[in-house]
Amino acid sequence: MRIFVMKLFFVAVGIGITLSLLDICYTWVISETPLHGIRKNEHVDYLIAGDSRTNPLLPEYLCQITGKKVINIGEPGYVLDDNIKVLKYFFEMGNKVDRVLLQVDWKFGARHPEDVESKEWRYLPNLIRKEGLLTPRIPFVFYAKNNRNIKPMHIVKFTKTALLRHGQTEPLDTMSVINSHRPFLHNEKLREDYSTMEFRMKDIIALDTFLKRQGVRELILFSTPYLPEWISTQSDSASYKSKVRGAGYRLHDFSTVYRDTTWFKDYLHVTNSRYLAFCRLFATVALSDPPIPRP
Amino acid sequence: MLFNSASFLIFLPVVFVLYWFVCGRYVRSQNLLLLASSYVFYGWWDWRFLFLLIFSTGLDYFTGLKIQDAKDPRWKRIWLWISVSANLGFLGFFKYFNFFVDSAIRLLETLGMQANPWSLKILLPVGISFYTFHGLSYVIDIYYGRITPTRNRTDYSLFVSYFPLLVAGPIERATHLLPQLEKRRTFDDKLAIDGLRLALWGFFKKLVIADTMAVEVDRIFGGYEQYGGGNLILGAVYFAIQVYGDFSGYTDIARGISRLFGIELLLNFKFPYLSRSIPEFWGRWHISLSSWLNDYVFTPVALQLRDRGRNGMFIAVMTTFLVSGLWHGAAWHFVAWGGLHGLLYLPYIYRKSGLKGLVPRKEVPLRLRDIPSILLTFMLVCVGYILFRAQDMEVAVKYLGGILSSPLSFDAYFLKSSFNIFIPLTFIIDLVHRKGYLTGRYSTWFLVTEFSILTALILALGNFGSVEFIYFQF
Repeated sequence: MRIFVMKLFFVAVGIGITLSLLDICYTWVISETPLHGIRKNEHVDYLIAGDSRTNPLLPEYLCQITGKKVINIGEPGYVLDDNIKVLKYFFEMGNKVDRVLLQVDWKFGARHPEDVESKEWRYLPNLIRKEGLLTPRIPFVFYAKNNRNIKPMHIVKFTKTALLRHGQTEPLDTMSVINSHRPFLHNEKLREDYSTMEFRMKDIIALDTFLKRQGVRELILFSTPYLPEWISTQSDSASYKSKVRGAGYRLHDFSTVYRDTTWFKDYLHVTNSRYLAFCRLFATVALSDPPIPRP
Repeated sequence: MLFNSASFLIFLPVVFVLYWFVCGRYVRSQNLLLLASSYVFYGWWDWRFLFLLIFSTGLDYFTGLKIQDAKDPRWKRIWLWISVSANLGFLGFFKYFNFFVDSAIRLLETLGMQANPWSLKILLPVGISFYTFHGLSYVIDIYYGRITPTRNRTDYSLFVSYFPLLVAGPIERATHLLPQLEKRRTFDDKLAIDGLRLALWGFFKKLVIADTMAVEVDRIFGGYEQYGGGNLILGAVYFAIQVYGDFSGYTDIARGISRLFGIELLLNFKFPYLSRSIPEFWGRWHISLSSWLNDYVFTPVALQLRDRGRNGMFIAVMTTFLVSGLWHGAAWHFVAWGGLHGLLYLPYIYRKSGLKGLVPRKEVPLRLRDIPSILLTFMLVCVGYILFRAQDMEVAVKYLGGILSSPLSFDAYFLKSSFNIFIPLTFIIDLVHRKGYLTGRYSTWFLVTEFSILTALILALGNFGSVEFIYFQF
């Protein structure tokens, strides 16, 4: 038993050291690719929040089109609570924003059993840098799982580019090249009827109250494109729209703009190459408010 | 409770420490602890399933003793049939009731008769296919005088319910497991280290290889109408890798964990994709099931039909594989999968030397010139997997039709993607393990390196909790 315990001890130490080194590498790469573009003491025109369907909206491209400062904190797997935590972090860094655009629909805004609790949000690596911690931490696992756009190969090669955040490995000026075409995925798990679940209108209103206290002029809501086939699986497809409009919010409804299956990776996600077209549409419709004069 | 869950990560060390440090002195306390732990493990899914498990265990224990103690052969047979009927009855009800009702309704409708659908919402108890086979083999072996029944209720209950093998095998035999349970286990550090290594490789196969391929398999099988023949072939190959990674990974985890408690479980996979023929494949794939079917289905049927020569042998083979297909799932495409494998035995049954048994008895070393037959066998197995993976017969037929009728085109995405590395990697892992890599003595530095790299790869590339073990549904 002693030999076993001794070997187990050395193995545990070895695993700890390996994970710590990986943790450091991930921390360095991720913090050098600014988390969601959040820096300090900046004033931006728009902040976009959502999940994987929002994440591919390229902030640099949106800035190019509109001439406005845009950041995008949407990440794959996020729920509303994750966005709220990142928003709080954004304001803690001394930043300001004029308008917040929040993705909302049956799936993102619904109280789905698996979404009730926020997923592990402790992948804000700037916190680690701030605390100067280099202790072996499981965050490496969270980085790998929750920053899926940043692949292990990027870590090994120490790749640094903010575009990695949004699933793009190419520079903006070559963006016309179609990225690797992924065949459509029939993900049956996505075909749940989210429209029957509780829609978190109260949480959206609470978020709006919080944002107003931070000096945000307006919370605007939007929904991303879906395959019509998926919309038909939601029994009450109009309910969330009437709720948000009834509460007085502006809603940019992009849910039915695309109908061609070839434009989609799966029921909910537009392909990377089509996302450029969606960026242009989004910029024209959702980012066209007159700028707010600053003191 | 799943092996790849946080609760299991707490459960296992607690049981391990109690087993060796508190209960290690006496076999009775070791077995009681393992039994209690097994019931906790199983009850974690749904405590209601425990009643059926305990009842089934008690029934087989009792009938086993009755068979042994009966002087009159008629009473031996009666007790045997009570146990067999009860076991098959439970299995039939929970697993096949709705299947038979739906099939009967469809048959009546094809004959022009109306039938009222009468299916029940029956919850399938996890692992029922496995533990009923444990019980069946036990009482049948007692009946044929191959073993004497144990008179220790704890030992027998543990034989049926031992948690590493309870929900997805391997299907153990009383002759192999009971003697180990009847003796006090002493700690063997080499066995324990080998167990941990085996379990870690099992996690790698399941979480990295199988679950990565699962996404692409879902993509292709979910949208098969859109793909060319080449992509459909790739879908079958990817599924072959997925199911092997999943099932052999699970078995490796089960066997590895069991070694931590000083108990050796049956080998369930022996590099099946390096098989040179279909009979050899069945000697290497899900060995515990194929040997069970060989002993309790094939051999009795073949003996009964020995007067019919090769035709009798064919009937025995087909019966065995149809039963195997049905065991895997209450659906016609599983039955068709079993039937296909039965048909693939035809050349071996009707060749000059005939067929001596369901699986070859002797192991022949691999040679380079075996590569064509290995590839051919693998492709035939992949054809069978189309039937296995498709959601029903209609989809399976269309999928196969798609391969035959569509142009042999491959999507660049599938050809260029990095997950294709898992295909040769699966064969390489098998080849390396075949050379005894997992059982040698290694230095501590080697172990540290191996564990660190594998753990990092599993954490970085693995899918946690997203894809269930395939064989849980059986």
